[in-house]
Amino acid sequence: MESKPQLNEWTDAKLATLTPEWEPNTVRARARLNSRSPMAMRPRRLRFAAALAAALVLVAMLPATRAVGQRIWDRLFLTGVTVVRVDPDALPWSLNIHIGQKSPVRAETARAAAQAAGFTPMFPQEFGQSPQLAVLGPITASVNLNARQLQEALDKAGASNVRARQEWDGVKLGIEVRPIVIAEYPGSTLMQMQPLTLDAPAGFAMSEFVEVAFRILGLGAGEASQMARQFAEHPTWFLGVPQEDAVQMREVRLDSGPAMLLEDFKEDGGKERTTLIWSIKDRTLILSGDMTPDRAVAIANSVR
Amino acid sequence: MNASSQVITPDHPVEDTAMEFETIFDAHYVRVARVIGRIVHDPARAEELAVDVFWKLWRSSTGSGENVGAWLSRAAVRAGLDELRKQARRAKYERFVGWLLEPRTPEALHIATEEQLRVRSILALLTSRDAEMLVLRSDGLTYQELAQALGLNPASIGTLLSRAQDSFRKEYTKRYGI
Repeated sequence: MESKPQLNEWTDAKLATLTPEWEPNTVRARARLNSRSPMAMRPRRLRFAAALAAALVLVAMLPATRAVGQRIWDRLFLTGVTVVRVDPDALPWSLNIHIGQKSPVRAETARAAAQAAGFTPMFPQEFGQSPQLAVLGPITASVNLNARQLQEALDKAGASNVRARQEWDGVKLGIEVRPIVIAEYPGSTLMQMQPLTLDAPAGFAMSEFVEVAFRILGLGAGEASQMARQFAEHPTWFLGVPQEDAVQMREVRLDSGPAMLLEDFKEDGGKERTTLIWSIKDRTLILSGDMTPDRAVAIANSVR
Repeated sequence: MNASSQVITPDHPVEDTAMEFETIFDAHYVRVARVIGRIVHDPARAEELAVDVFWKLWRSSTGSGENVGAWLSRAAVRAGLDELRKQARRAKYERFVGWLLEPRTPEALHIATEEQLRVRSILALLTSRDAEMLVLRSDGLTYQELAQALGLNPASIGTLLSRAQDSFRKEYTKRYGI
């Protein structure tokens, strides 16, 4: 059993990692305070943290139809986005994420961004100014499966008639996100990335695994089976948005095809931000900011 | 906490209150922003929240009649933890890409280390009081200051802090191992 001083020391060390390495800017804070008045509170500056208000979690699964026995690994390109109102926290695993660089790297020009990202970024023509550019990634992530935990999660979800295969124990699924180009405009941000890739051991029973995952997430047998079939036919990212989150979602049409529009609301009911996610042939784009849905669609349609 | 003995009183003339507010701001802003910055890793957001805390102090009489340093400590840590929990809720669906993209402003091009993310994720899980105690203690508050900030009996701080540390350790070990 650990002594109190040891516990103190351990806790102190953990919390000491949170010590800020930056100095607060008093001048800026004073200016912010001075700019406020009781009659006209300025809206808060858009935060990048919430810019993807209804954004992305990967519940990535590989369909069995893609498994090719001759290869040690199968690699799948996820070229679209499917939004599902489920709570991905119910999944009994966490992603181990590794970032190739510790922070986004500024790019002075579009050419520099293209060189860093490995693809040519596209930009909206609606804005009359150049964006601030940065490139993040590549990012790799992996998930290690645990058969016992999967079964426990199934039981907890009330899907006790479904079994998690024992041979899934220890299986590792790998995900790779190639560099992401971030273009920041006043009030909005456009991010774009090439398709994610997903690696899984050859022969992995993916369709079955997809069903299991969605049963854990609370879908009924029919829905889970449908999601598995859909994924087998057209593998996409799955974005899980919990039911309790104040996000309204609907599909909208862009000139290039369908897009998912997400409107995020604050706890007081006010609108927080709009996010538009769409995919074209070689990339997925995410536009987010303080804008109306119509404005978001207009901006997205102007991306060239 | 040199200015912890300052008190905002509700019956001061406006000019005096304004001057006093300036003094309080000068004395406490950096500390408040850094307390929030321990919890919210985006410096720009931490500064915004710190300004919100002072704005709340200015607009309301919430801090009146009590130790303003203690009030600010409590308000700061709560603002930070509220934000952290919001982020944790969002992280349910944006953890794969969202948080990675969070650092956008020049200040925010600082990215949290894996260990920071872990510690923050555990803070978001703890009870409010446990998390508040741990954060404020790590910011250097004494037991007496902790008691003032959180409205607790000074004699119970040692026990409560130990329990908070224990809870933190258990949750951390459960999730991440030693």
